[in-house]
Amino acid sequence: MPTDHPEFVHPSIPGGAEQLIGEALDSIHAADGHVVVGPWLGEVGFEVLYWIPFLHWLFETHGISAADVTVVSRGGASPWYEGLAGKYVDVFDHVTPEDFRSATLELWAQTGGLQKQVAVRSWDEQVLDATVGESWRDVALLHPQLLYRLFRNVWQAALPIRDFLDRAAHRPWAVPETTAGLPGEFTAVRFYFRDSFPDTAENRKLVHDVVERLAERRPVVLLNTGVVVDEHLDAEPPESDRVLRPLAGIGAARNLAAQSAVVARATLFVGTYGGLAHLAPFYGVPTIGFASDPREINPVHLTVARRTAVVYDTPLAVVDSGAYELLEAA
Amino acid sequence: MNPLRALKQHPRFRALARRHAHLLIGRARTWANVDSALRLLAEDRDRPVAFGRCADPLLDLLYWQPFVRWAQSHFGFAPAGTAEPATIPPEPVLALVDEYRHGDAPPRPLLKRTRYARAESEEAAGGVVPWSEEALRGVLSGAPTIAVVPATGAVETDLDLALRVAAELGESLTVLSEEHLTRLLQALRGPEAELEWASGP
Repeated sequence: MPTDHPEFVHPSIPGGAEQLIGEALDSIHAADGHVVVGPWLGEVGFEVLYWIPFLHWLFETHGISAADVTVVSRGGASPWYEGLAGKYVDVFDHVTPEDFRSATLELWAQTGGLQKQVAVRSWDEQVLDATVGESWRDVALLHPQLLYRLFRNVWQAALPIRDFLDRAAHRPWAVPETTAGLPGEFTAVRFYFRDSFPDTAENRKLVHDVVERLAERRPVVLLNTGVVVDEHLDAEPPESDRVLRPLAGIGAARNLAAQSAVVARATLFVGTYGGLAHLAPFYGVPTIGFASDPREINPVHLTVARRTAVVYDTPLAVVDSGAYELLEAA
Repeated sequence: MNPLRALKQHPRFRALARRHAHLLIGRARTWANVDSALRLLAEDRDRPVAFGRCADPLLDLLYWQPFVRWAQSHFGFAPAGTAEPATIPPEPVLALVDEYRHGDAPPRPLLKRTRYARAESEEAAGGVVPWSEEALRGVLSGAPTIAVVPATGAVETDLDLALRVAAELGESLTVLSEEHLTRLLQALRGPEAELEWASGP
């Protein structure tokens, strides 16, 4: 989750957060409480670690009724917004994953690699038009830019982490329904490559070896769906009758709900640090997230992830191969 | 130029201030005060600077030694010689560090004034160890380390900084309570798994 883009480097203004939140609340009140939240088009990690806890805090603190809220996100994130939305609209019910991926990559190219929704851009407007229709212009819009404007200085270490934690409410996450046939006890696994876990021969071998070891103990359920909507490519573990792939080929519009349903029922989650490794602790699932190059991780995210896991009374370990061996041998 | 600023830059004023820089740092209330006092001391090419000792081993390793390393490198004080050195006590710096530790101050001013380095000479330790300077020593020696937080807890911001230091050095540090580590091991290896310490709790 890189946060070193120039658009993230802004001086902190005393009282700036209160002003931004005040402006958002004013627009919601002006629309009689009717608000569209989103569209969330970015990474799972930011969505679950920051955006959703912030929304809970905002709604609870300022009496925003979920009944009047429409949430727009992508990939079947509906269960994550339980208690926050009267209505959920999925981007992939209206935009094909191919169009989404190509628009996203094009936008990143135009903005010099900026993956964050720090402003309402024309792509956001196109998505809103496609998902909720023109009516979003008549109600308040709670766009993810608010999150990035509020907390970019926390991610830059220019504000204490308390500035975020004081504006986050961590509520229980309901376990989503599933139709996938799952073993009684299993380890959920999702490895993909990213800067902190790059596609190298060592990491491919690591994935192979770890999954093999996990599968010796109990069945492994891979969360790999085949859906590709960003630059992250899945690492493919070895074929084995102890390694199940119940989500292969699932539709893009339901893939996150399906993965969540599996993660929430797992005894353990193991995978690349980021995304789902942030999600699993919300369901109380012990989690091991791999990062072979932690220099590529903003340390604030490690801190918030650790503290959030503690709030959910759930073990979270972010490890490299050496630390994983410690867990195997400890 | 602002008259006060002009006065502060006058050579005679600075000479006087240099003679009392160790007192100035004792009264420092901000990082800018500390910087100014150290800058004055660095101007005196005849007088070396010595740094006091921090009695708390964790604070010493996590905050004071990295601060000293940064100050020495950033200001380039006069080399040790025959002159009596000016001694910088840790207390004023640790008072500012406390603002961060209490969660009131952001990390950045502290991060700008600390330099962390791998302890090349130290034998790699690491392993599963109680959260302490020993855990940090493991990280700095390049050994994967699992730091176990005692049931009584720890200063959260110390853990935050230790995780940051490890990440920025490319090292692996995992921080867990004993209960969480045990639950993780049982989820990984089965309910019979028990925690074995590399170094006793």
